[in-house]
Amino acid sequence: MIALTVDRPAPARASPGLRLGLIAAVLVALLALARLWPTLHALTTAHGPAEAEAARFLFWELRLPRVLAGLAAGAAFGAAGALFQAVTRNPIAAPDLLGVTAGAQVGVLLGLTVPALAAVSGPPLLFLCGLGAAALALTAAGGWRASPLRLLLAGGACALLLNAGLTVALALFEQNIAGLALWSGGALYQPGAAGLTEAALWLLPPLVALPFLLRGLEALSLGDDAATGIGVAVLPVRFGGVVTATALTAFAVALAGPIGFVGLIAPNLLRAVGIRRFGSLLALSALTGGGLLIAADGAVAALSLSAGLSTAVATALVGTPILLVLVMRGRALTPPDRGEVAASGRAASLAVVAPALLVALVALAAFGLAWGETWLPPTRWIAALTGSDPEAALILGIRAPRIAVAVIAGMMLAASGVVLQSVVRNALAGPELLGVTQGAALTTLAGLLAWPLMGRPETFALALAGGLATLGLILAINRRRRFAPLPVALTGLAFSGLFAALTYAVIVETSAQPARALIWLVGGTYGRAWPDAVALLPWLLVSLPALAFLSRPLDLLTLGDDAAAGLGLDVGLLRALALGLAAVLASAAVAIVGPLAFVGLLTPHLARLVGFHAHGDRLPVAMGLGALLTVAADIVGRGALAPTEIPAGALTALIGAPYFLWLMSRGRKGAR
Amino acid sequence: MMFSVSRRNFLVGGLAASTGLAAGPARASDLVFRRSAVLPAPARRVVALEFLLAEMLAAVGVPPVGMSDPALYPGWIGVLSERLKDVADVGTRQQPSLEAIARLKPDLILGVSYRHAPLFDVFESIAPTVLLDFAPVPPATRLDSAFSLQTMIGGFVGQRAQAERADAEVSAGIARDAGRLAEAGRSGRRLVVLQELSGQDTYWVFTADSLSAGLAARLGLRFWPPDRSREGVRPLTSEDLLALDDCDVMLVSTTGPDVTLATKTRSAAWQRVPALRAGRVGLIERNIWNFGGPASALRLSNRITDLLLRAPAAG
Amino acid sequence: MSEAAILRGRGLTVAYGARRVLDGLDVAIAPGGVTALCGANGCGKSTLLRSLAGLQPLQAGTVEIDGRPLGELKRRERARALAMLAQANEVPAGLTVFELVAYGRHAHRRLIGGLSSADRSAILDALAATGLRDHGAREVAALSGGERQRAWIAMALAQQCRVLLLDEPTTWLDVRHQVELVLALKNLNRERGITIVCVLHDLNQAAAMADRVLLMKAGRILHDGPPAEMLRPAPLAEVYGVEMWRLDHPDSAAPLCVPAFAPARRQPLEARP
Repeated sequence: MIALTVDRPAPARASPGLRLGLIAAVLVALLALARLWPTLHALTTAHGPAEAEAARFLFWELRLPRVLAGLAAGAAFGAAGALFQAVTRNPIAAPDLLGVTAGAQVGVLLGLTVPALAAVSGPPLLFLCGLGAAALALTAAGGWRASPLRLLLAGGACALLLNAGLTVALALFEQNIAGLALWSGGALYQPGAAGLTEAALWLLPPLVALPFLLRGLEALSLGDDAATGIGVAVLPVRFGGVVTATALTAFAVALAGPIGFVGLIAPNLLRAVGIRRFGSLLALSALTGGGLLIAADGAVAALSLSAGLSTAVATALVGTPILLVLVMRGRALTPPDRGEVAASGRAASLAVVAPALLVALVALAAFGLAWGETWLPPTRWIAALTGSDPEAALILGIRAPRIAVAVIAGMMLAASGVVLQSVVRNALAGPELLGVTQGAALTTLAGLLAWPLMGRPETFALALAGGLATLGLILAINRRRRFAPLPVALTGLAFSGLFAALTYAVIVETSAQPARALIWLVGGTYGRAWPDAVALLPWLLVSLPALAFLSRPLDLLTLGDDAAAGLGLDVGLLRALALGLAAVLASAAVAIVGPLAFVGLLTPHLARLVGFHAHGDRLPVAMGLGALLTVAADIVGRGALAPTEIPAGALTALIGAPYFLWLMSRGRKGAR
Repeated sequence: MMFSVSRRNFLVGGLAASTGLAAGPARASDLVFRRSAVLPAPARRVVALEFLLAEMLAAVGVPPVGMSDPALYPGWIGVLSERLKDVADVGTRQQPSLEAIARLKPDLILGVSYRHAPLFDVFESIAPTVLLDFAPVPPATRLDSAFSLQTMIGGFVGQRAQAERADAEVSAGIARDAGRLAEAGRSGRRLVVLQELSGQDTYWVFTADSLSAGLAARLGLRFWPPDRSREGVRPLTSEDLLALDDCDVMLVSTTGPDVTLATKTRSAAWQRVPALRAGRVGLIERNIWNFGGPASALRLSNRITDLLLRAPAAG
Repeated sequence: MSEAAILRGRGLTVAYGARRVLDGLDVAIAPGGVTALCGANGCGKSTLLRSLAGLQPLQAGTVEIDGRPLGELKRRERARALAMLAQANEVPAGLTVFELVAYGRHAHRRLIGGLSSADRSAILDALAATGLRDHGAREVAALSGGERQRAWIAMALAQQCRVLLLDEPTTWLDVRHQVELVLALKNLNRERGITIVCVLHDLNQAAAMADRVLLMKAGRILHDGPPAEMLRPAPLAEVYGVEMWRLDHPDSAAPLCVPAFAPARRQPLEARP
């Protein structure tokens, strides 16, 4: 690629970092004081030795450690977010990039189910499991020589894989794990003073490493070549950055639960108010993260709201509106944005691959009709159709619509993912990133609470309305900026975080057993019938010509906005249309099958790894792969452990992610 | 990436066309959330999709032909297990295998509103279906619901008399426990029942609508907390824990017996809980009797009484 | 000249915040010419080029092509009228030269369907004109810098437009590729009558290629004329703030300019800032 010169206007003010830092520090101190005030007050006004002793205990052993733990965890999240975003040059990379959170969740589950570990369960175990997951992801990404994109994709695939495993465990051992669900809501750990001091020791290695990495990481923003040119050892710096950020995240997750969202938004808030220098960004992100977390924790405690409003939820509620306002005011600047893409394999021929996919799909569907608890050979299909075998008819009536729904939904989610990744020009884009999925889930849930006997058409309409309303908000906020990729992605992220948190709050509020709801939230094809398939099909059919029509303009968009505009494309209009199409596809699919993991996010990359990059080829291939994967997940989920059902939403990742990782590791080393 | 896939995974949306969370306020009638118009009288081949339904069917003498998670039943409920040991497995409670249910050719499917509301149509295409909803109407407790539900289920399978006999036996058993407590001068003590969760110092406390609260009333005990909740439990903070004074605490374990009460209460906060210092914290083995039927209630009553009698005399 | 302008900007004003990058600038480009835009970094040359291409939002002013305001043209019409090649371009992985050049046909193609024979011949013609006839199947990412730049120019040629705007096309090339590119562009101008406007840093290159040089400073055009007049120490010192020497080539008498690189030995120039 032709070397890139970045014409970046010099910061307008001399040192906005210092001033902002002071303001933020004062704010955080005030927050902490407000949080501690009632106990402090009780401490000074206690009557009698017993009361004083109790007040002392409350202050020194419960409240103060809790506030300090919140500060430390929030700061670690914030710093880790800034680090990962610098290392991957992707402003929407989150601190649990490498699957640290998923690893810690595995740790919670292990602590619960393996009695031998009960003694060490808690933060040490979570810390170790989080690091273990990150090591796995880092290895898959090529370890030491991992490029930013490989880190993002391998981390994502690994996290999806671990989460899928967790979901299967949830589905099978529901009773054991109410605690996991509670933890997932982000319960701030209460280690007491001694526990906190011990945990603080884990922070030492990353804190010692940071100063050595700072200047190198700053230079990485120039691009690898330019950074090498000025004498930065790119690979070691990047590796060191990843390891340091991972250690920080593992510390924070072990202490405060999976609130990686803090680390995602803190640096973006600061970038939006004009902080550019990496050193300032890192320090201020830590401060902002700490402040956000204790503010959220304080809000939960002060309002004495029930457990439904957990720290994670409160964090999203506090952080999201700020981020949205900043994006709307146009302060979230757009860095020079390069549509990074996965390594292309050999060029493949659509004429070979498309028929192969079709044959595989038909064969798999036929197998799916036959296989299950009862083996149904094709002879019994005929008997069922002629009415002479009612049992076979009943079973086929259960199997066939599920397969049909899987095919249609898989194609729709994959197409949505391809379009979104091209429009947003970010490898991390997927229907979940835009908040469309979460918006659909929230409205559906609210509807089900209001009218428990709501039928299928109403549910479908609600989901679609939720998804499209989310899209409408995103478009309205970004219209003035011609739907530039980064603001769109940030807006979507903000909404997805907010809606997901609200959904979770509603679930916890209405059901003491969130584990039960989590299974539904994973999505799948269980219990879907013909009316579901019939409801879904028109949306796919209508979108096919639109996809064909958009594929060439989307190709042009890969050249960059200016080049595409110069070739006669209305970039703003194209973005709006494509976003709309992707949102419709995703909302409709989510309305029926829920957010099947992996399909929307990684099948587009999978199609590229197989060797297709032009949209005219990549769309059909990705859609075929999506359908194939979803059908496979449906069949395995229904039959593998029959009569126990594994949610297809977990299996798509469990089947797809290893294949994806294998393809990735087979690809050219260091290729982008 | 992924920026927290966790966030995606569990928070992310898509309850899809179906969510088991609809155990909302709307109720067709007491106990029945939704039912087929025509039910067999009496039903002979019943499929039970929740533990307590299987327990009640066993108690009235007509064990189901199929049930969810039969392998987990002995561990979690363990009441009347011998009557359920040959029952066919139809998968998990949340997502039972429709094929397995269909193959059993049942004449009645019993489910619960909070899990199976969206599946009613699918179930009904296989056999007549009743979805039950037993959230108690104030001031009733889940113990009252359990008795009424068992009588109703007895009616479904033509064993109403047997159901009433079983209820009477359970009531008599609880009354015997109440007598033992009164004899030892333990009546009027304040009872708190906690459910252990993972993580340090995080618990559910059973609320005033729970089965435990109903038991406390029948056993002649006072109960804390006084508030009701949607599903009979709410989370407990460590400051609530510190305030547990002048009461007897029953802690329902989530681990095996290899983890002792001493291990579970090592934290600084627990060490300051007055009830623990007074030796008034009892450990109940891992179970979900609080979410069971009358037979489970009797088992829980026996355990609570035994532990209360073992606690030191009130000072 | 101003009568027959193919491309004309009037009162072009662009500001980033308080900083005016173009300050009410007027410019007219005659058809069939090669115009070089020169000036110090940050003087607004690239912004002017982007403005002429219709890519730059303007605070004030209009751009006309063939007497029609650019804003009135549909995007596809505009793409058939002029092509712009940015300084740095993204290269999507896996893209072949042929595919890249075929993108140039976007404004000519039907909305649905494959390449027409006219499209194909335009693509092959563009490849031939840039010496890439045999490289159509290669990946753009695998090309050398010079080849890659020619591939982008081929894409612009495939647009079959009359005006070609180039932003520092030779900057990343070695001397040989620079010469090749300059000759190729001159050739295109001579043989096909394509009007070329080109931002250039190398003044001698500008002299060799252009028939008109615009010297810009602080958002305005300070000097405008044929290379021989522009490549004199006085205007250059005014624009760049550096002392330059002029040497006329001993054989061809073509004007050459080199920076003095030394404290002035002659009298300080009157225009020196």
